[in-house]
Amino acid sequence: MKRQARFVAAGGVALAMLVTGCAENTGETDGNSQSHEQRSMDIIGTAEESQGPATPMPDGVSGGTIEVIQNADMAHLDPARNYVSTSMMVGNGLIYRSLNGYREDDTVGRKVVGDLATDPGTDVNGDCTVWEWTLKEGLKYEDGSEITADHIGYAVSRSMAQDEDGNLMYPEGAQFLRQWIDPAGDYVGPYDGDPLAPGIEVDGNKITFTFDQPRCEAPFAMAMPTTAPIPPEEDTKDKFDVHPFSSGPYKIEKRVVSEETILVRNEHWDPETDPIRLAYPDSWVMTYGTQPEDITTRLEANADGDENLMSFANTHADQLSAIVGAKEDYEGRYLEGPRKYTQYLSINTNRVTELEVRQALNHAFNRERWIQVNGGEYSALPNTTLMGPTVPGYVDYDVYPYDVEKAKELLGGETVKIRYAHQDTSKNGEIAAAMADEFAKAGIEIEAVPIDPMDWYGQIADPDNDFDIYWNGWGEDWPSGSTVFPPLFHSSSIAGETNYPFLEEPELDAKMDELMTSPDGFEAIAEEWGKLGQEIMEKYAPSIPTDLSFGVWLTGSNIGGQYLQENISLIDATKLFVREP
Amino acid sequence: MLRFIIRRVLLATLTLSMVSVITFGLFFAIPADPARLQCGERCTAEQVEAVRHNLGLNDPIHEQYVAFAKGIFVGRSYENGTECAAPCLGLMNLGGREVTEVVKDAFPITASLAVGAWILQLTLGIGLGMIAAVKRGKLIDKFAVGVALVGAATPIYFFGAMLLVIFRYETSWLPQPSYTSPFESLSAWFVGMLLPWLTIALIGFAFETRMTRSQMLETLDEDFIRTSRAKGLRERAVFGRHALRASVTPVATSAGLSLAGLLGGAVVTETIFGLNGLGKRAVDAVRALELSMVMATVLIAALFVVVSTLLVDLLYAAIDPRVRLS
Amino acid sequence: MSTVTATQPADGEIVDEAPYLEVEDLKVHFSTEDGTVKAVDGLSFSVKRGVTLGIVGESGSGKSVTSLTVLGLHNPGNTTISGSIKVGGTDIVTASAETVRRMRGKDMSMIFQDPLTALHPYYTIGRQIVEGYRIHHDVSKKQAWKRAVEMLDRVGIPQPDKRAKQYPHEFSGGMRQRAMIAMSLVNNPNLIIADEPTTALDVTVQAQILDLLEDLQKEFHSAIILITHDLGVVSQFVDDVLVMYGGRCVEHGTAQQVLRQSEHPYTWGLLNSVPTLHGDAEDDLRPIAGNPPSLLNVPQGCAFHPRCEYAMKDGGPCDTERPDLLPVVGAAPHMAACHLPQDKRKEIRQTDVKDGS
Repeated sequence: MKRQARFVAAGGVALAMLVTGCAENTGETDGNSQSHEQRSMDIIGTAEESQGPATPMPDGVSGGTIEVIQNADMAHLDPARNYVSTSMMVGNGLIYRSLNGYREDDTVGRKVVGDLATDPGTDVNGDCTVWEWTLKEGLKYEDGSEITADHIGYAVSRSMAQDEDGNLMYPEGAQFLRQWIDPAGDYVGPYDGDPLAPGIEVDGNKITFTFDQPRCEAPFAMAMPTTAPIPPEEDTKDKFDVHPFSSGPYKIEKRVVSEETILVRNEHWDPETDPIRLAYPDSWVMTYGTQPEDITTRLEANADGDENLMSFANTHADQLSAIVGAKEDYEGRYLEGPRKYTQYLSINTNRVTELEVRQALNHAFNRERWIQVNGGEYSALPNTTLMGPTVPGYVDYDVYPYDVEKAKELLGGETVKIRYAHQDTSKNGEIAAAMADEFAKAGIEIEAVPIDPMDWYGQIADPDNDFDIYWNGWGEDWPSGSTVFPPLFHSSSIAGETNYPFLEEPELDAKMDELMTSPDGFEAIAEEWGKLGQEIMEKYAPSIPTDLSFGVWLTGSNIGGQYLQENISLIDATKLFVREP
Repeated sequence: MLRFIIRRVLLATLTLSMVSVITFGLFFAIPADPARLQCGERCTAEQVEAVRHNLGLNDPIHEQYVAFAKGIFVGRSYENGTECAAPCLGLMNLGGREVTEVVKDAFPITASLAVGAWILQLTLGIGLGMIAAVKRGKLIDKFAVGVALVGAATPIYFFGAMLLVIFRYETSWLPQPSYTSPFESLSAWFVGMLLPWLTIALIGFAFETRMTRSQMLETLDEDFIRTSRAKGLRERAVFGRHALRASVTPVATSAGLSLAGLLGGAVVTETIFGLNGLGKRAVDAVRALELSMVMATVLIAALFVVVSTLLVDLLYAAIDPRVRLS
Repeated sequence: MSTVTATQPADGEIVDEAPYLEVEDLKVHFSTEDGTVKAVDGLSFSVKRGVTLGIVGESGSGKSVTSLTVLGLHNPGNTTISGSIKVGGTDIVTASAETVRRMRGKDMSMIFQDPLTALHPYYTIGRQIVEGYRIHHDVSKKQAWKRAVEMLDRVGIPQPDKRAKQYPHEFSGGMRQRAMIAMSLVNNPNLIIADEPTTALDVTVQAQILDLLEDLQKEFHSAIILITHDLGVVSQFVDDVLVMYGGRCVEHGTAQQVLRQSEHPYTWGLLNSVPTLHGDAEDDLRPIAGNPPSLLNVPQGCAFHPRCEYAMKDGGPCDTERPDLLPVVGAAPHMAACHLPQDKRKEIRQTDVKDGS
């Protein structure tokens, strides 16, 4: 196991403590060779690893206030609606706890562990259909009242609530549990129906979920915000989104949407029960409205009074090369590392129907040039696989290495015309122009089609669109191919959803359906997913894998504990501290 | 006079209604889908549909418009139980906050920015313009003309960013610009608004300088100035009593309209300094496809323009006896 | 009126011995980017109190510049003045700016051509008169106001106390000019310069205004300079006439002399371009051919020679030598600047020139 986040620490000792891991670790490296390292299969933690307190950060001290500047406010804080990275980091990392959670530190590596639960879950029958969790003792809400298994059952049931017309009341969140418990959508939620959704049973401090099919990845699904507990009497429905009830280390003291959020300590939170959160600062003050490039400028300047400042936004592309070029100047407040997002040029298989052409596009793709025009290796790492290395089971393959001659050969010497859609921004226009040059070498004539960025996803998700290739990116919901391949390549994800190549292969659908409901256990399934990626590339070549995103963050100089949380792929709010509170 | 005002108010109402209809129509002409944007890329069609329903975007456009317009006069009740009292400008998609509340928060910021910058701008602009006109051809005039030229040619975005770098990032001489209510702390308010004021005023005063100077020079060529000298008036009285009075009318007109423009929201300046005033709210609203907020900011900006045009006309009549209000 | 002589004005009053205004060899030159403009180039004349001098000429002949210079209203930045202008014994050219300012409006005042633009649009008529009075008289506003109303009454404005509170745009053209005159005369100046005071007015009003000026002159016994291009006005209202061309005086004499026995081809041209009520209009009107000279570049010799149909050119003296202003033999104080022999001029006048009366 090797840590991916590299941290330029204040001193050599801290550096050694942070960048620990395997024997071959050479510490600080300039290239990004570590990024394609395969992650451990041993990702589901134990009861012991689920125990608090969390592993402390070197030099970590309590107290002080961290100020956060963001361009926009968090999308949603209601656990049933929270499905965007920054909101998940703030929601799950600071305000509420879920049944399970990701523990990422140098003691255990990266593991899904019990957060409110004593362990990541028990597969009752050994076939992944019935799962059981037991809550820890001494869990308290912000008012000191007890967190019970009932409240988790209620929260999950609530996330499925429908209004009179059958519309979901909280539609924005992840829908996994709903699909696994009530695939037909018959359950209308706790307001007008049973207090608990079918398949959920509560017995004292135990909660049991019975699924429609074997769901061996249930421990991961339970780490989504959806399982954060809500006492029914605190359910303010729509308004819960603005002011959720705290079960975590901080409660909301003040919140004005799109203006300001102030978090202060929840005195009833017991660190002894929490294996994930260190919660060093006494409070957090978050303000919204700073432009992305200005966030970087301000953090970089570190002017008087801005020493406690940070942002979840990574360094803006405009300033990136200047900052990474002088990273030693930002010692102690610089963080970099690969993120979980895999980028592709999806090929519209409705239009580019011949496999040979799709293969030729892959061979003709000059990845080196792509990385260069995308801002270099500090914003994009070259990648040839459909599933990224952050997912266990990852296999490093390059089915169609860059080979212009091979591409020409596949095209039989003919010239093909390809409509390349890109977001109508100057940077994307430059990228399209550069790639047009590259593809031309293989006799592929690119017509660049700029699209209004506001309408981008609407256009490329339309199966009737008249573009041949276009960019999209994906990051797994949890470290498994089941949250990578079905959304991207299953025929059920076509209309208006995320199967951008519009791949419709019954054989592939069947294979993915089988894996998603396989009772064989996580490790066996993970290996199968890993292999499936290569197979999809060989058989269908539906996309050109282009790169993995890379992130660089700066904080104010008085902030310590910078750490890249791999699951959400952001600077980790649970570990940051104020050096001199 | 009264008839004039009544007529103008009716005209203003008509203008505002037309602005609201056009804005509403234009919003729906944008190809992007607010529900998809709100729900995110990973939402299924079913989820997006639910969001669309929850945002009330499923109703026919004219019904949505009527509901919006009615809300302004009689308030609105929402399905989820939210009661929005008149004048209700709708709810934000994000967080369901009443748009009126957002406006109430944003307006003092924009007003502080606008009025402060405006006063500074007029003082600098009219003062320098007058000096330049009186000392025509002298060094100070050339300096004023030069400064005005530089001001007119400098992009405000660049200038604001430059001030930030100089006074904040490189030197920490000033704290990060931000809005504090003047009733809470007058000094924090002043210091926090200083750079934004300077940004607007130092770019904007160039215009007032040029205008005052040319207006003053034009006036100094007028026959009645020669008359005032022929009467034996001292130069100070010639400039102060005769020339300035006649030059100030067009300057006042443009100043009135520029204040209205600033009150509608100084988009660029608010954006540079991260001040959540009306201008920035308007831009954010367009980006986030927040229909109600777009409507509110456009209507408020239009209202300021309409009201200030009326006030400028009244002022004009007060200054110039030849103007008859009819 | 046209029968008077320079020393004996129409009303027959005894004229003061010494002239109130004496201009000696006045040169007014402006420096511009294109060169020096010789707006006035060696002008001498004098006016006694009670006498009206008409200055006649086309636009650009230097007549308005002369009057502004007399009041010291030239732009000191780009104007060079030489010679002397004595007003009541004080030389305006050498006096301090403050001395001249104190004299302006009090000892000498001006009536401008267009009262609509010459009056401040934003102040009431009364206030503008009061302002002019209080600069030179240490009196209360109330007293000054009383004086203003009196003046308005004196210049024939009905309901003067009410009209004083009105703005210039509320007056008719003729009333406005009366108000302007009231403002100019409020301090009983000894010298009044009226620069085309009737040009902007209706024909019917013109005579009223000029009659008013004449009456006031009798009352205040002032010297008046009437600048005009209208020879009809000259024939009726002035005592002496000075004809200007190209910044210089080309003819000077009593109104009778200049209009009836004019000695200069330019004056003939002016006389011929005046319409008369009898005879064939087309045949009658003979405007002077060509344009007035550029004061940047005045023609060599006689400035008028390019337009003069009688000029003696080709070795001539007219295009080479500038004629001096010389007395007309046997007709003092008549003077003219022309190379043509006097009997030749008489011959032409009798055949080609209309009667200017």
